Amino acid sequence: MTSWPPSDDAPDPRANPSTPDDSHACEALLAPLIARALGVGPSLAPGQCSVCGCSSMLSRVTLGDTMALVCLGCLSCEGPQPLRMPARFLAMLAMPVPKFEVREPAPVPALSVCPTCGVTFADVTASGLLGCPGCYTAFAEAVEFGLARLHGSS
Amino acid sequence: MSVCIPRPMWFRIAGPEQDVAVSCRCRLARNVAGAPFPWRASEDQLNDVARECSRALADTEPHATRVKRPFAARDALYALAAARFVSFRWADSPMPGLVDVAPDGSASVMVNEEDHVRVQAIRAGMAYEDCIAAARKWEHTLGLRLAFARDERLGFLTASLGNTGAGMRLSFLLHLAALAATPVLAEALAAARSMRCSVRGAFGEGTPGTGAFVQVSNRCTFGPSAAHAAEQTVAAARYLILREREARSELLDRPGGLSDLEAAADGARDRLFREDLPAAEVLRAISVVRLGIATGATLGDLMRTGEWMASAGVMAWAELHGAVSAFERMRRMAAIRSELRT
Repeated sequence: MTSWPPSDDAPDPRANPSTPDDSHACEALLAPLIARALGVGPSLAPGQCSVCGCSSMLSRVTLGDTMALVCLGCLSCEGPQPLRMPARFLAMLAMPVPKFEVREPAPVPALSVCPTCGVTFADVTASGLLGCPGCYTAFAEAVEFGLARLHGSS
Repeated sequence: MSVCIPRPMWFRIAGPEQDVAVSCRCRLARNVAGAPFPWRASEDQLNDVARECSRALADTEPHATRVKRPFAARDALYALAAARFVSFRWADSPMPGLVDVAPDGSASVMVNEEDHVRVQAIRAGMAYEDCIAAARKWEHTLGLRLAFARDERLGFLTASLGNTGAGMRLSFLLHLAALAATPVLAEALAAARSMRCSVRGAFGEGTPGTGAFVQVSNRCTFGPSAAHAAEQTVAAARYLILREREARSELLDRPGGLSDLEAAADGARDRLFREDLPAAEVLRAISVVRLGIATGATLGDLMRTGEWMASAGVMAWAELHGAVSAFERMRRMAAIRSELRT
């Protein structure tokens, strides 16, 4: 479970590595964005990360008098302080978005009614709002589907 | 009887990263167990909820300023909306409700908005930790006196599924004036959206957007990913701030960049003084003046620009609902001018 409020000790983006296919696609898309946002050069550099040794998503970073190649994951955790937040943001971008299987619910008859407040399912879909806490039970399957669609998981 | 609305804390106390971040807000949505949500409730039921919340609020903060709906004068509603103590939706509703404002202007609690209880705290700049702490404190104290509708698995139950779970919306109002002048804005906002953040105009859906004032908020409030989504919102806001600063540097580094901005800011200030402008134009002019102040191209108090913006927001809201009269527009413009003079 992620801690709140967020601090600079937030979870290591490397803990959720992207799949090889995803990471290559992300690299191509994000390379210019990362380079510009972090001010680390016009393009990503080939080579190995000086922290973890990986060869993915590398950026040139000046640390004091020395120039180092650091991967985006390491940069967001161990890089210079001003670069950590944006680097973490971009590292998260590079992660594949988890895919949730959202099962279509059995269609709810438009005239089915919440026994607590009397709202019909047609009213709920028209307004986008549930009528009362009891609607969560009355239209449970549709609610689960809606939550998964809106929030990405359940 | 006129009510004296406390001056909001975000008008008075500066926050971090205020050159780009105008303000941040934490809102918590809760409902009273056993009562239908406001849009389905009868007038009697809404009155019952208002009475119950009123008692709990009086115990929580006896010195709060209270405004009751629908008896509130239009002036009081404008003042509350301009301070962002209430939403435009709350101010528009003719149904029974109330709002309590903390004496120091640090937080407000709306009763009978989309949900029965909406606690919100706003701070200047990126002081979001303070926002969250203030909103949580009120919510916790109220929770000791009111039974909130809650499900063990789902969390807090709200009228909209978009708020179910934590019921927390963390939003940042950012001034992206320099980015808006470049094609990079769309790319930067798309990056924020891909972080599962909502990106909207300055005053939420339906209000005129200027491209320069942007609201970034978390989309997810449900399940374990809610905290992660709020973290992502902070990261997205920080990222946009960084990009805006880069764009400002590029703008000022161009030949004649500083003098052009100085002239534009002075011109915008002049327009605000000389013309009665529609809300969208007022926002555009304020945006240029604010950019001038933030970059040092022109003199002024950055803190006050948030207040001008809020005034322009009320004008936009009134215009949207056809409620603005020529007199009201003149009055709001006069308020902005008087702010500009001080």
